[in-house]
Parts: sequence; structure tokens; C-alpha cells
Amino acid sequence: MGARDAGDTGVDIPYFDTNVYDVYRGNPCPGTPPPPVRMYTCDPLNTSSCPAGQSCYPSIDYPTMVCGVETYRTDCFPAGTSGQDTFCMFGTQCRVGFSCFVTGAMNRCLRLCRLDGRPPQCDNGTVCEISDIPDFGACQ
Amino acid sequence: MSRWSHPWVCVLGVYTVLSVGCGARSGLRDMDAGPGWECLTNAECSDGVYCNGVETCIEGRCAPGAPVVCMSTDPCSTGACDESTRACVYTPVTPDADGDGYRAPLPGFPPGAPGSCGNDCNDHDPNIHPGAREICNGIDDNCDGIIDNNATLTPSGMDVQVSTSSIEPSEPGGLAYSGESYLASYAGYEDSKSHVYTATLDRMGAGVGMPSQVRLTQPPADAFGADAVWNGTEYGVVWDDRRDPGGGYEIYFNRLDPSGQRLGPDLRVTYAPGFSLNPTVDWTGSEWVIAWQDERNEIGSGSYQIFLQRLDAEGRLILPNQLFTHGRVDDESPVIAAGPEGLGMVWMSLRSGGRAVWFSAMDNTFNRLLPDQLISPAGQESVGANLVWNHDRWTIAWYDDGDSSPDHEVWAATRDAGGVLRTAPVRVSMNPNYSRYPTMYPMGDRLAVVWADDRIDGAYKIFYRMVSRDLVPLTPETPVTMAPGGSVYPTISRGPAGDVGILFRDQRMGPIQTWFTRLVCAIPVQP
Repeated sequence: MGARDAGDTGVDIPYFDTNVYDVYRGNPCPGTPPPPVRMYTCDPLNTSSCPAGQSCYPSIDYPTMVCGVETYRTDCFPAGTSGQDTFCMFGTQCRVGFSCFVTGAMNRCLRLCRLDGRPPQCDNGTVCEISDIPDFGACQ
Repeated sequence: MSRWSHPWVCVLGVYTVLSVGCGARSGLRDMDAGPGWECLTNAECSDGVYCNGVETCIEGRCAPGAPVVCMSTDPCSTGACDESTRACVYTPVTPDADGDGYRAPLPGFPPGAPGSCGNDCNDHDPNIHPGAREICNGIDDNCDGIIDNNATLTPSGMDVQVSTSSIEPSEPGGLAYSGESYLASYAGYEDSKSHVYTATLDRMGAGVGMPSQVRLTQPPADAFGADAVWNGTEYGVVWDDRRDPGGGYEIYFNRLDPSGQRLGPDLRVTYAPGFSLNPTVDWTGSEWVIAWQDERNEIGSGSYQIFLQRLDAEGRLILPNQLFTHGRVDDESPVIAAGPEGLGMVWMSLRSGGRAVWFSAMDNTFNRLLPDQLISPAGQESVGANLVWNHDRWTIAWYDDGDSSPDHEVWAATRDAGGVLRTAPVRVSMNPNYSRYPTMYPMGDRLAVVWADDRIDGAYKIFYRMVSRDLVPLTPETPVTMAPGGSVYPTISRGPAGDVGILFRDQRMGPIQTWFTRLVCAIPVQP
């Protein structure tokens, strides 16, 4: 159901092709986990938070080590032109107020929304879906 | 005491023994006496066994008795002589294997037919027998030859919040029923991390056990899901999770006992670059089967392929991950389901141009029975596919998601076990607004379709309607929830007494939470 930020492509790990498998016997990261780092330089839900011609895009730097911490980012980039439901590979392909998400029904530009019910909200029958950046939702 | 008549015994010379044994009803005597032996009285001839008849002394020699014959006047029972009670015992010729007090018919006889000697239409389920309560389960529970006796489902009118306020936002992953309680699984954020939680629920949706909510995924990394299925003794759950470094979500599996406790460590199913997402699980009767979308061969292109995995009953991988869709087009969001003759799977694919729903029928080792089938109408932007086996066919539902479409309805179609068309696509919902996220409950001769619909006040509510096996509407489109806060993403399961449990996302209280409601089985009063 949830939408995932489409900006990360992962690391090339040789994938499993034997009958050996890993099991996880508990939490490998004892103690209280540190919160994700938020490096927000603009507000993706405010269409005027970036200079003219730019848009504010959220993204995630995924941890590269076990028990590592995500970094949630928002940055201004030149705005893309693709609107709702247009195929995309990167957030910067999408126009102001939108970003690119893995949706389960094609990677698409989706309008950003607030999960707490405050505007901007979704229209045309779309629902503000949870993404893997909990501060922003995406209309799908 | 005369012992001379048995000199061939007494010559053994154990005189003191023989002085007791010969002529007495001892074990030693019984071995030596019997038919043919010389005797003076009937008593000397008795071997002590009742069922082989009464031995008698005739003209100085023991003669065998006539074995006891136990004749039954009932053709549905057979008699036998019981030595312990020294009487005839009569046993039914047909079994009551499930112990419900009703017997299976003789082979070749319908239950209850003359001469059948049994009227239990299912002697392997104690809940199915003549006089049993008929419930909405797609089964002829009372053996009257009618599935569910025209039962209908009606909304309970009672919605229950399942996820606690400590996790927010939350949305459902799966719902399954053990025969005693539901297992609800859902994702929720806690300290900015999404985890998978489970809760064991009673019929009304109240938590069972302490704590009723358990965090399934322990590592501090995002996890979403989990789809869940009950196999008769335990649950299988599958979710995507990025606990391992590298940034990619991977597929994980575990088994849970009826109370929701994990039966082993989490099993990592995929080791692949990029994202492995949106897994679904089902049980074939002997194995778990999992399907998911996987980016490993198309990194950076935005395209996914469908992969499959078999696991044995103990949750061990059988063979490596199996690539199912080989093209370089985008294939996503599979739903796999087990039927009596194999597996079915639906998913969204771009192979026909736009987003469309495709279907494949396969055997339990993932061999296709037919080439993949395009299900949704040409040109329709079709997503959200779901699949169930209903009596003798696959039923597939999805919704039209095209921005420019005037439709935006829930659609359905059916295919037979081999994938051949039975019912062409038809609309299940019809209204000017949006109908989305269909899920289905098979009832044999009918089907309950449950979805989210914003026709009332523009806010999504859970709706349902009954349709025939051929998708002909049987009931109006009916709201299940009435809250104004947006009820979406229903996932359903059979429940107790013919209930259908519904887990869904809801925002009526402000925060996005996972809620439960149910449809109640109502059987028309029978004359």
C-alpha cells in the first residue's frame, strides 16, 4: 500500500542463488535506536519554499551499515515537468509539489500531501498514502 | 480325584501340578482338554472360549461347539461376537471419522440416500453434519444440499481501532483467521521507523492476550506489511524490510503460532540489489508460496519483475528465488493464491502498454498452465488487482485508475482453473465517484466484494455487495463503515460463525490508524 521514495537504487549485492539462507534471531541493534537525521532545507509541501523555477524534493539517504540511521533530506532542485501519475525514475522529473514514488503500480510522480489531514490534501479520488519518509505523504 | 484317564499328561511326572491341573479348570488343563479328548462330563471339554461355541462331551469324547453367529437385522451394522462380554456386538458399517455423531455414507452413495448408511456430507469436519448451523462460508454446513441456505452478509455497525495510538500513521497489511481468533498485521510508525505489528483479535475485534499488539519486526529499520495466511496450524507472514545495509528492501518470512508468537527467527527470502517489495503469501496444503516484485535485474530503470518462492512447511526455502516474468517491461504488485488444482496469480503489468491486470494459472511448482492472460479491458488503467478461488474458478477484481477515465469503478472477471475465460470483465461498482481497493470473500455459489468508495460526502467508506459466481449482482452496493474520516485499503478474512472480518485504514479520529469491522452472516429463517 505504501509509497516508497524512488530515488535510491541500492547497492549491488550478489543475490542469493543457493539453498543457504539467513535467519534473524532478534534485534541486532540493542538499545534505543537513534532517530533518523532530518536535513530539511525547504518544505516540499510549500510550493514557494524554493526559488523560482525550482521545487523542493524529499529524498532518503539509506544507511549503509547494520543499525545505521536514515537521513531524510529536502532540497531545492530545478523543477521537473511531469504531473500526477506520470512515469518517473527521479523526483526531479516531477513538477512543483510532486515527487517520484515507488507505488506498486509503476514508479510515478505523485502529489505530496500531509498525513495529518491538513492541506494540501488529495483530490480526484486519490488518498494520501504513507511513504517511507513519515513526514510526507503522496496522493495515489 | 481320578487322574488315570490322562496318563499321557501325567507321565510328565510333575505330580503335584497335575494333581491340581488334571480335571481342574486351570490353564494347563485347558491346553490339554478339548475336542477329541476323552471325557466324562461337558465341563471337562470346555476350552473357556465363548465365541467358538460350547464344547460338549459326547460318547466319552469332547466335541467342538458351534461358533456364535451374530446376525444383524440392520443392513448398516455388522455383528461380531465379543469374548469379553460374551455377547454379540453390532458395529456400524460406516465411520464417523470426525466424531460429530454423524456417519459418512457408503462409497458410491450420496449422503442420506436410501442404503447409504450415513448422512454426513463431510466426515472430516465436525462442524459439518445434518442439523449443523449454516453459516456464510461457501460450504453446505447442514448437508441439505444447499450452500449457505441463501445467507447474506450484513454490516455489524461496530468499528474497532486496532493499532494503538503509540504508532502512527498505521495501515493494514493482512488479516487471517485461525478458527479461534483473527491475526491482524499492520505497519505503523514508531519513533520515525515503520515496523510491522500483529494483534490477535476476537470476533468483535477486541485484542486477545497481553499485550494484544506485538511488534513483529525488531530491528530499527523500516518494514511494511505483512500479508498473512493461516495453514490450519500456524500463520505464515511475509513483509518487506530494509534491516540489512545497502538500502534495498528485502522480503522476509516467519511463522506464527495461533497467539501470534513467532515460531522461529525471521527468514530472509531475497538477497537482491535494489528493492524487493509488496510480497504476498498463501499455503498450498503442503508448502508456503510467496510472490513479490523485484528490481534486481532492472536497477535504475524503474521496472520490476515478479519473483516467486516456495518454502516447506517448516519455512525453509525450496530452490532459489524463481523469476516469473522474463520481459523487460514493468510487472508489479502480485497477488498469489492457492486453489485445489494449482496456483493463480494476478499482477499489474505494462506489457500491453498502459497499466493493466494480468493473470497466470500455474501448478504448485510454478509451471504455467497457459500463457499469461490479459484480464482488464484494453485501454483501461487497471491496478489494485486481487484474486480468490471460488468453488470452480478464479475470480479477479481490480479498479480503473485512469485520471481521464469516466469510470473509476471496481471491476471483476473469472477464469477457470486452467486460466480459460469464464466471465468477461464486468463492473462491480457503479457510481459517479471513485471505487477502489477491491478484495473478495469466496462463498462458493456467491462472492462478497469489499472495496473503498467515496460516493457519500466525498469521503471514502468501506462498501460491499454480493455477486453470483458469474458476477451477477445479488445485493445493492452497501456501506459497511459510515465514519467521515476516510476508510480505505480493506483486507478481509473469514471469521467465526460465518463472519467476514475487515481490516482497514481509517482517519476518523485524526491520526491514520488500522481499524477492524465485520460483516455478520444472516441466514433467512427456514420453514
